[in-house]
Amino acid sequence: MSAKTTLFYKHHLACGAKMMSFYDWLLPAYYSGGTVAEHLYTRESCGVFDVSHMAEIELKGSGALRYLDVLVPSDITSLVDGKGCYSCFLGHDGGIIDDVIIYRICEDHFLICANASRGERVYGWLKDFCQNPSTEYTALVKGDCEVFNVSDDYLQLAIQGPCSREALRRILDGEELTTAQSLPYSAIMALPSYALPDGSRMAFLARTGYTGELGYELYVPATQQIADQLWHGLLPRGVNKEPAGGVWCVGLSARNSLRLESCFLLYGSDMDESTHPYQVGLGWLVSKEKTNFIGSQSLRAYRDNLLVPQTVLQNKHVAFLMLSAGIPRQGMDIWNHHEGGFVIGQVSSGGYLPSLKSSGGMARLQVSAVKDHQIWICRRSGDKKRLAAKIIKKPFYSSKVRES
Amino acid sequence: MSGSDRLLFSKNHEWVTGTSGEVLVGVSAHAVEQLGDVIYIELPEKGDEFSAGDTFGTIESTKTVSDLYTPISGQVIAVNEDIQSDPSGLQEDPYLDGWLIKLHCSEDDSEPLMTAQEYDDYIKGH
Repeated sequence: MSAKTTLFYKHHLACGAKMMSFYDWLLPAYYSGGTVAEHLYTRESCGVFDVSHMAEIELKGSGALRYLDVLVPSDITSLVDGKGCYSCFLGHDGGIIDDVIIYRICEDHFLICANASRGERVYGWLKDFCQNPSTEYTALVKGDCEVFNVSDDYLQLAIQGPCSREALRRILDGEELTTAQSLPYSAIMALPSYALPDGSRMAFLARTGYTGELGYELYVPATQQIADQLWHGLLPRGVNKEPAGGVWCVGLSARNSLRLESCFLLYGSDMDESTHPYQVGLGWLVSKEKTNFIGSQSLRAYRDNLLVPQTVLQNKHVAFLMLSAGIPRQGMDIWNHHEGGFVIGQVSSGGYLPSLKSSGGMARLQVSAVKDHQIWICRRSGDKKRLAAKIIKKPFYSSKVRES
Repeated sequence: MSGSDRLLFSKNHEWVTGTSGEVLVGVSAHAVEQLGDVIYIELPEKGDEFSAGDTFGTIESTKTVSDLYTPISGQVIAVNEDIQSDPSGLQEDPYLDGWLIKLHCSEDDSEPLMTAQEYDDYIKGH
């Protein structure tokens, strides 16, 4: 099967992108400026990311809210129209099926942004449940709820960085621009100017992102004309870097280092279906009031120390900063001593952190075996040399993204 | 390939140049380009001795970590500390200021090396 490309593909090539495979997709890893320059530009100005590979799923119907309330561990009923929240879907065993952003357009219409690699899985999971809810939940769900996989119908661009509010001027105007520029954190609005004229597909702008900066995510109908209009509108100089305060195209590699600095998790690296929310620091997603949602029994058993081996309970999800020169990468063993000792976990995601001019990562570690926050990383199996690192408080980097 | 005309290249993408027993060793522009942003370079100490084909250090980029191989035997008489403390210089110029180590070589026992033109053809074929 040949790799899928987005409608921005020709623009990526024109901007000198190094393309990389990512699940079924061929996507820009970085452009001619390189990962570090793109990362730093996003932190100080504004980066534009083609994230059209992300999956979009819609829930529609009079019962959409009630169905969703059973499907997620978080308190989705307090989400108001025009707001989004970070959440996850759990299997019956409490394992994370995917972490997602759920936007409430209105009570009978939700837009879900899922990971590219998990779109089909999430769609199947939601569809199966909505068509045929298991008996223990039938009393909780009322009304109808239809599930639509609209991943191929939407393009998604992320516009991220302290100057992203100003960058909206390049693609919006009039009242739409005014509303967009005053959009609060995590809110979503319709963009009639980018909707299809026949009304078959809407367009949305949300103040969400994966970089830890002020930023927006744009969901627009997947047409070549809209793709061209947005790319040229946002990046009139193509790959040529604008002075500070401008806009630049940024690839997936910097998207990864930006999210890592903010300690945002990456599905497939930091978690998978064998991971509970509590194991990766996502316990805050689990509502204390809600008792009956898919996975709730397993989570309660986990929380109450039932049926879970002590070694698993001792594991904590942590961030660590390298003290030695060297980049931690997924799968590397982490030791509790510079020589001897034993392996206390593996790096779940790691990399160079350009804003800190240092390297770091995240891991699930047996922290009871760690003394003074000191850990050591073995770069290659068989290497005698272990690189020193220390466990730090998350995140590595934080901006006042919510307040601004 | 400006700046590379007088250099000889190995299949491992290192280059060497030098006369009268003193040889500079570095990595090719092609290798640097493949690596992406180079973040760390680990180099040997002065006085260390290597045989042709030995690993003399590592080069680590945002993407991956790779070993550095010397194509010729010799003793390290200098290391490029500037490039070690700021490897971004390697992206700007891997051939002049981007040398990595200087070796004192008592004999020319290097593995078969390529001219710049031959190396160009070699990387196009891979």
